[in-house]
Amino acid sequence: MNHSLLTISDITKKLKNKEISVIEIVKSYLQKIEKLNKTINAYITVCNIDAEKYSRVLQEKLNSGEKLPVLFGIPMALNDNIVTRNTLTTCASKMLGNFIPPYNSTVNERLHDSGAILLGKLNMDEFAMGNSNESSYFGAVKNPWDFDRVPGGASGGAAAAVASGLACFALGSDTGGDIRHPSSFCGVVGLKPTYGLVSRYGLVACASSMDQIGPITRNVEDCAVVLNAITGYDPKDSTSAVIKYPDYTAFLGEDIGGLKIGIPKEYLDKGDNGEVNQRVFDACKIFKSLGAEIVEVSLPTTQYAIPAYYIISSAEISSNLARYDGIKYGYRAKDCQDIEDLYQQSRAQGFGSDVKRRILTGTYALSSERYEEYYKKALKVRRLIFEDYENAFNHVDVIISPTTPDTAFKMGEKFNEPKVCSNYEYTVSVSLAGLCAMSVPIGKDSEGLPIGMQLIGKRYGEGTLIKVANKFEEACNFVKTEFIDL
Amino acid sequence: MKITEKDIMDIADVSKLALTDEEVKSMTEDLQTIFHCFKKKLSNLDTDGVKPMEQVSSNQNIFRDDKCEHSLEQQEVLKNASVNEKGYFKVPRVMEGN
Repeated sequence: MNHSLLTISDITKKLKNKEISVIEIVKSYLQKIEKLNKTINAYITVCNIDAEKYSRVLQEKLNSGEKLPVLFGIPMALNDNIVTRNTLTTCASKMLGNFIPPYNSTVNERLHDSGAILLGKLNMDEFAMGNSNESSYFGAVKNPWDFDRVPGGASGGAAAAVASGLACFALGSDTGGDIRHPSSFCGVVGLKPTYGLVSRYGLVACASSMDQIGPITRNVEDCAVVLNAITGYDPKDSTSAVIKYPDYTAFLGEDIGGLKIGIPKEYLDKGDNGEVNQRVFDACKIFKSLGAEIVEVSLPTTQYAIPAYYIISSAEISSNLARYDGIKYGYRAKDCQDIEDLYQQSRAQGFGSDVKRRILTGTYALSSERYEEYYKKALKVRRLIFEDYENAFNHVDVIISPTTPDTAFKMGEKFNEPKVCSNYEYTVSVSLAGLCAMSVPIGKDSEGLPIGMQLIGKRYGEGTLIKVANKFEEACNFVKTEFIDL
Repeated sequence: MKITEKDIMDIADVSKLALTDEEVKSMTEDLQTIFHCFKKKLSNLDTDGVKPMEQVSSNQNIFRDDKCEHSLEQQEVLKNASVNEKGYFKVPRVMEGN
């Protein structure tokens, strides 16, 4: 039987009822990966042996009637920038092509303790920089809905794996939209949590003031379940939120009558892609029918988000990636004359062109003569964007927008284009402001490609997003029926 | 504002990145586009008096007790280094002289 399109709650039920065993579930996923990964290229590393071993341990627990943790027996995968002890963690880069971490990320420990089974490590754009997943040293990932198209990025392998049944859920990382963008392109649910909600300990740094780990799942309920498992204060991350962490599953099924949903007039006036906008308007009608009120809001400064984001993220990238020197770990160039040559050559040979471009951009923007003009200016724009959202959230509970202006584009179409011209505009402003946002599938375009809407929440407003998205999903019911069985 | 190939070679040097002539050329063009785009888009936005926002975390000065905790074994730390010897990371000679 094909178990690969089941949700977390489906699998949990079947395990408890003894309809299937943990061993069978894991085997069926590994078989599907074996069959499809050659084509989709979602995985860089598959942990066959460890996954089967852990499945046998868990099966014994199940047989003995022990109390089962929330993700018991659920096969999942992690973005390859999430550190896994004794399992290759490459960041899809030649630089870390042989890096076997001696420690574990907090999220991996939490998932393991919750009974989730790691199937492998997922392909992505190199060092999580990009929106097409074409910059991976290990080759591009294909969109499961159309193999000629990109899955989005940077967490493209994660979204493609969940959409095509190569993992029940995945964790990706999001800096400027890197969970939401591929989730939209692949037709799955992707959440970027509020900055600080999920520990970044063991997430290889891209732009530290915005990086967040978050779940990519088949539906909103699964998103809530995974979020429960990975959140919580972590003393190993100094930005970890000191709050009372709620039970996110308690928001499922809650009524949204009277809730105010804001629609930014600046976004929908633009008319980039009629089909995408039309679907967002259709979603608004559904929300209205569920008793929510649709209110126009204004986010005037978000039009400046992309250039500001590009400068800030590049600046942080240039300093974060200074650690790759070829000495303590990572790629080391051969036959170097001296230490300077060793640094220069190791970095030149170990990094791809997108990463080099970002390092140079960041270094340029941070140089003493240009710091005020570029970096400081971008930080001021960030404040204005943050205030725009604060003002809007004085009037509404949630803001709705498309996740991306367009659906998945063709491979090669935008590769090597400096991402300052990218189509991340709806997602990056949320990252600059440190808010939470979720991409939820809302149907297909005329070519059969998934369209996503973005629901933006207040700081720590994940519960509200889950409530709204879950009600929407119930009302439409297409999410469950629209997975591809390849 | 014009970014020159010399600018790129200077920042590549600071960034410890050896670039080929071809890369110098293409990166010059790319950075020219990026910074031109930034200026064009943001020149009309008045940010006078706005406080720069480096980060959004509300945490400040997170301390922990000053006590020893488990750290990695030496072998574990060294195992990812391409070249190590007698418990050290090995690098090319740094000091001048014999």
